[in-house]
Amino acid sequence: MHSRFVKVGLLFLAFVMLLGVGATVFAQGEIVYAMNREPDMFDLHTGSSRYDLVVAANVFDTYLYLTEDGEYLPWLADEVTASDDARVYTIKLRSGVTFHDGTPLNAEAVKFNFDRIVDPDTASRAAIGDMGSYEQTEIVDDLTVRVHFSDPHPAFWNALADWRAGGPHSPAALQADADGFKQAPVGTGPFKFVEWVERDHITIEPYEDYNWPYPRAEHEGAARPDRVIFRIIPEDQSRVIALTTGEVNAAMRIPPQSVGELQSNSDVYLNSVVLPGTGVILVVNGSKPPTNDLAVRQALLYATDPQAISRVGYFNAWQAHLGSVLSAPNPSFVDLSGEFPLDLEKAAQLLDEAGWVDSNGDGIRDKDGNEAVLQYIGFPNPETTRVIEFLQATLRPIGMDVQILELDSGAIQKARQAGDHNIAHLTWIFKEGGFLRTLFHSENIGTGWNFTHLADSEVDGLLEAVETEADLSVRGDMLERVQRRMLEQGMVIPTVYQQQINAYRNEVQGIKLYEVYGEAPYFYDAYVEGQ
Amino acid sequence: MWSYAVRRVVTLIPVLFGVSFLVFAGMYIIPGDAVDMMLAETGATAEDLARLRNQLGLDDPFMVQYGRFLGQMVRGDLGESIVTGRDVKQQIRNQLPATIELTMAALAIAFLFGVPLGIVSAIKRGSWIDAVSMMIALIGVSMPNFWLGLLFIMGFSLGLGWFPAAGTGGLDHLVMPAMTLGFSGIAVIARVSRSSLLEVMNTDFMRTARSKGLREHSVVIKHGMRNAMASVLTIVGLQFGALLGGSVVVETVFGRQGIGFLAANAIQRGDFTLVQATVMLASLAFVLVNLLVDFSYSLLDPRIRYT
Repeated sequence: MHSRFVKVGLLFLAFVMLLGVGATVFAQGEIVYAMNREPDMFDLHTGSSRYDLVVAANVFDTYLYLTEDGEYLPWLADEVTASDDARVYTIKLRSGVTFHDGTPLNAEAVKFNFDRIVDPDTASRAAIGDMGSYEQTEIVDDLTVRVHFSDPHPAFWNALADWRAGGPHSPAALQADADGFKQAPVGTGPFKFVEWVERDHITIEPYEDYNWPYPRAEHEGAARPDRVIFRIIPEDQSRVIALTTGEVNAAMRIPPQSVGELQSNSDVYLNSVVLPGTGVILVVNGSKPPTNDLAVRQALLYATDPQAISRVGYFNAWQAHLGSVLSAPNPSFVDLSGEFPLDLEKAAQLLDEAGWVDSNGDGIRDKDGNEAVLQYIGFPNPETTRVIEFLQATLRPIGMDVQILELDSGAIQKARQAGDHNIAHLTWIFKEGGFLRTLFHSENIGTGWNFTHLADSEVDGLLEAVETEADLSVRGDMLERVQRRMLEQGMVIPTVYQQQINAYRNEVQGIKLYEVYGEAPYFYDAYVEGQ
Repeated sequence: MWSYAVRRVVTLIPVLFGVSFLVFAGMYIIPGDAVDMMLAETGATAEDLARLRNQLGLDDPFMVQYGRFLGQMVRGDLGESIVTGRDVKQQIRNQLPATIELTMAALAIAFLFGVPLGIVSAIKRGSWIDAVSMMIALIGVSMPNFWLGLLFIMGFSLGLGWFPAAGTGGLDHLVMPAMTLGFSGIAVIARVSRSSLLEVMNTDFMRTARSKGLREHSVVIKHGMRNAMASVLTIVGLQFGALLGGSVVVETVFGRQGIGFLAANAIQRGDFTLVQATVMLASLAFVLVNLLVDFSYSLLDPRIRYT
């Protein structure tokens, strides 16, 4: 009886080991890139998920290429010029560009794309935001169009360097099957779409006729890797382990707590870039006590140390935010780190001067019946929770406290719109500085995304002017003033930049994270060593 | 028997209606909808939000939306995902095989390990074997799936390199998720097998069987377990529901295809149509499996007759 058990046990063990023998073997030059979330769709005119772009950046090219210096280089467009009032843009296309279905990229195709984005039937969620007051596209010749807007639209420069409005989709493919396009895109990019096995993987392969690489590419002709497979592994730890064991050879979104572990692994290397947008900031509600008092908001700035937050909350893997509401890769970023240096004495002094004193001896300051207790509303996330608990501990010695309430994302949105918070985390990724209007103009208080609940006429005026200012350098100055004003008014507390941390096995080389939008990897120059 | 079966199937209809109402009302009540989630990444204006809500019919009154949903369900039209635009029926068809595979494998593991563990514990009641098996059962019930899953990944993928950490594929991709999902089932089934077997161990028919000179293991298996099986089967039916629920976590941890992964993502994104369809499907599967369990009693125990 016993020996039978032992035999069955051994047989089971042998079976299990046999299964394990089939170690992962990559095809030649095959990159297996682990993503943390599945894209929604690849009809970028309609969709809105950031994760669409991780794949789409390799299937679609853009008319212009934005550099980290804020320069727009020609790509699918040989030349773009704008009228002085930024109402008319003339786009001259590069010749010889074809979509993966063999049809040419010409003026007709460009017009089709812009017209389709604004067509209500497209139900565009994000791309329509790039089109401003679009009127029409006029075809000048086979390779030239003039795009007309009823109001000045300087943000169109950025739109032309973005995949949603600026990455042409094949009109022939869209006309044949617009619904199918969502899952099987046809662009002009270095890779053509092969398959999407839902909840498992997406495969792309080089487009053989490709010869119009992005301006920073290292070679010409078709893309190097034989194939790129995007595997969907949402759980952070599983993704890290899949990379460590070699099941995948590249992985995005390495959580900050795993960075140290991977740094000490000699089989892999890391690539970390700062993402554009707001970074991780705290928005401060200017209409609810105690943060309706400017002194309290400024005291918070003196009491917050982005360096310490980077260390405590993000294990130094996400760097301290040195600006106010724009991160370092945004062309209009301005370093304001010297404005409110860590100074708890100064913070306490501001509170004293404004009449916030501890009148009842409970250790917390109060004024006019209001306690200096901040209501924090946020999503349960290990990093932000650590940060807010750290802030709670920092504020205690100066007589302030934080009440932490963590909810699901839908409830948070409603609470922030209603102004139930004093402070809340905010993280947005965007390249175009004009987008700040959505987040901080008073027109977006209550129903929109302005959670500062503070109507500041200077901020409003500057954000309105930014939207129509055709001179890009004047526009940059305005954006700088907005950022400075918002920090002075204590509307936001910068904490850390949001970082895209990728990890690759040593044999994988040449994956480039787009310099101004690091979430998008370019696989064009990538290769797998020894294959 | 047949009239009983028909009656039982007919009573499923109000149950499913009830489920549909609860699911729909639940999704309707919770703050934040798919439009909020979708446009949370793009920063649309209040007008953009209103326009998209109108296009998706999310600004209609509750009863209008519910009526539309019911009408679609009755016609077998599950609609399109409001986030991805994919056909929901097709999505479910694509994901269902992986979940069935996982749930069945987990159920098989739970049954094949749980029943013998329960039998051994019952026979050796009070011994160290009983103590150890019940300790395993306690751990199995207490340990959350996601934690166990991560431990398996660390041990068998990272440590021993036997199985892939994530993904869907052959048998090697199935072993760890099925073990993770089945582990709590082992515990539950072992405990129920043990207690129901203990109940029948000292009954007259067992004594008769022994006095006929049958060997102990055939007394326990043929006479004891056959009688104890009704309660074990009931718990297997209920376990099916628990496993379906558990697949949400396990499929996410192991990055496996499946209805659970689909549903979890849909809930996060506020994708009404997809959440409703997956929950309705899970409810349907659950009531059908329990119906089958009810019918199977008569096969196990001829004394049970349906009228």
